Amino acid sequence: MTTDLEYLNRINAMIAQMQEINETLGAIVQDALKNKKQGLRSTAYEFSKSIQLKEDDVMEMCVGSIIRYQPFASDLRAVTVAMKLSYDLSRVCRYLYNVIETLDEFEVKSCDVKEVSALLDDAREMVRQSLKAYFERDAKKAAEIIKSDDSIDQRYRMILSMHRTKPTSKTECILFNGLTARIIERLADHACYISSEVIYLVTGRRTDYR
Amino acid sequence: MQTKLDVQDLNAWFYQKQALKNVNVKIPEKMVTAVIGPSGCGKSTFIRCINRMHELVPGAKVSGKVLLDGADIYGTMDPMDVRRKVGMVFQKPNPFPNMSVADNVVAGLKLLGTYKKQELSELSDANLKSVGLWEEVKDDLKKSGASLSGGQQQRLCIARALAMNPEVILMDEPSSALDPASTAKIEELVKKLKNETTVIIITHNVQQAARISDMTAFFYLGELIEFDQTANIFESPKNQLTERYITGRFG
Amino acid sequence: MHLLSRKRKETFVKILCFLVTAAVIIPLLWIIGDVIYNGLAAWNISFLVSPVIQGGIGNAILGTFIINGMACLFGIPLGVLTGMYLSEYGQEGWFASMVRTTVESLSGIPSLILGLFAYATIIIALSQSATDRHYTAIASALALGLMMIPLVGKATEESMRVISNDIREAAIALGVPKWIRTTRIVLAIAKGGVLTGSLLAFARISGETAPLLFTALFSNFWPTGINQPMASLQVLIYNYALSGYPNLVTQAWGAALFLALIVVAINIIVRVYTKPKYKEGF
Repeated sequence: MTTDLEYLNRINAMIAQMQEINETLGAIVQDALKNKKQGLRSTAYEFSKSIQLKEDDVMEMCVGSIIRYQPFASDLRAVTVAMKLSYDLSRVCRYLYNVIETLDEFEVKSCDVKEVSALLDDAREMVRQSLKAYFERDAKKAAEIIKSDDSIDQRYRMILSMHRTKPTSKTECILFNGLTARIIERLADHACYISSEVIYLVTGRRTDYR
Repeated sequence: MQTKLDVQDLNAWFYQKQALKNVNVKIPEKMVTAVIGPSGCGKSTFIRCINRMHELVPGAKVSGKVLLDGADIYGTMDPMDVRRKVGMVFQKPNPFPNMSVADNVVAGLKLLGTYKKQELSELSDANLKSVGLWEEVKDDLKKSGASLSGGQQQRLCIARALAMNPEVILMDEPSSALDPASTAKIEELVKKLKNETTVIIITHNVQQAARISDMTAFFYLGELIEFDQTANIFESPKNQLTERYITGRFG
Repeated sequence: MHLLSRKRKETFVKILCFLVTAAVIIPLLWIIGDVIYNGLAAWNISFLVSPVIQGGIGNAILGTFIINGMACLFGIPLGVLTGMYLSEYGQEGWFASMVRTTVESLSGIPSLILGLFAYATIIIALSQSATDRHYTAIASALALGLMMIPLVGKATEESMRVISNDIREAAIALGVPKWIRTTRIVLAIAKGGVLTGSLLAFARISGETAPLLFTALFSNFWPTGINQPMASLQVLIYNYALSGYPNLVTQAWGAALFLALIVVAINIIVRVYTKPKYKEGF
């Protein structure tokens, strides 16, 4: 119990840094996808590693603040939400790295990746907006983000059905698009998890999203 | 969840000053209910209305009902009977200094009834054991109750209340005058007590309320602001005042 | 410089205090020394155990104890009950304030008046005629008992009042009725103070002469009953000291020494008794 909320500010600064890492890596991944660049695996891996270190830091800070301040009510929720957020953000990073991995596995020069590229843009925007909702403690915005996940799912299924709708495409392209869409769909799910945490943080009620 | 105490429209005054305003609450049986709130919020008055000690203060007035197992303690019940059924432990340990450790435990029975010496001595031993004091004082049973340490005195007072075999035990900040080790022992004991009886405990320490209670009642300016399961109160209180109090924003 | 003058001032005040204290103690020591010196000259076994008629003070010693004892039998219970009432029951209300005022006034009434009261209510009432007064030790005991009431009452009230309310609340919370609480808890804890007050009251009445002069009067013989004139040390000293006969004056010194010893003994007992009790406490 304390009125000194410095610890929450420090935790939030850490979370903002994690999101920055995801933004930077996201831009690299998008660029690689559009231009079908290969060989970025080790670069992406470095990002993934650094975000994991940050996740550990956030955990440590959260546990430390529970020990030191024994927060209750909204303070307690803020700490537990921060712990979950740091996990979600490190997962997002991991998925971005998975896209790079997949890109390295396939010969995609002749593939049409417009759909998945657009999907990645939207998923990244969802993460961005859910973080914004977190920092602004905006439960309404968070609820909207969760709703928008339906369209992501729909587009993911559309890409999956390419082998039926565009049977002339190369098998490798069908496979690549399907795999990548699957990864991005999971990434968007984590944006929704973050949003549902924001709702819990603000209202104290759990949505059964996860 | 069986209701032990059903408080209905309880109001209390000191002369013109209203100390409790329309309190309605159902205290569940065999659970620990913590009562929290800033100083002067009516916590003490509330629990003193439950054993009819509030009315002993000059200028005190009470209205409303307090049903103990369905029977109104402000009805035809004798206040003395109420107090035998609803025990109380105070902030400052208050063993009787003119009695030995053993006699303190059974003081109530000894002063009231016609118990045989053997019975009293057995009851004394049993209750000292149940508060975990036996091992510490078994060689000093004849010493004055006031010769024990503060923490031991407080457990002696709990044993004294328990010896009356009460339906409810009220505790008014029982560990606020004690060191951390003694506090831990009292808390341990409170958690154990709910197997046998219903406990209502006032505490200024919200962490303590969170540690030991099943239900929490938050009072502010004589009103019961929120009453809920302790986990709910400390995770997501519904009222803004509760939130501000338990996060230390005021009080 | 400044420090030195302050030190000097300190020394000056110290010496002044010492001199003033000495001025108080010296007369006291003088009196005690005088009493012991002159008193011991009169003392021997037969002086202490034979009655006045045989040249001793034995019947006066016994008389003082009988009269004081009767006064205690009457004064202490009433005093304790009064103190109990004032401390536990009479917090407010017109009756309580009346009792309080009465007790305070009673302690301010000169003992002579109390003696006169006993004389008027008992001696005159029991007497056949104005020329044949029936003097009795009972009247003395009444007068001295009345003196004891405010002393014992105040001591009881004070020692019960200082008992923390926590203790009373503990008893209330156990459902113990008020009269049991008051007698078996509060009074039981205060009993040291009550005993001390009673002893000091006993010492106080041991020195009273005025009320005895016209109630118990005097007797040269061993007492045969309480409803009789009775010798007492106080009246004996008074009579002998004024007699002018050197041997009687010496006997008065001897009686005075005995009386002083009673008072000193009681004070020592009280001192020892009120020493800290719980040495085993933490």
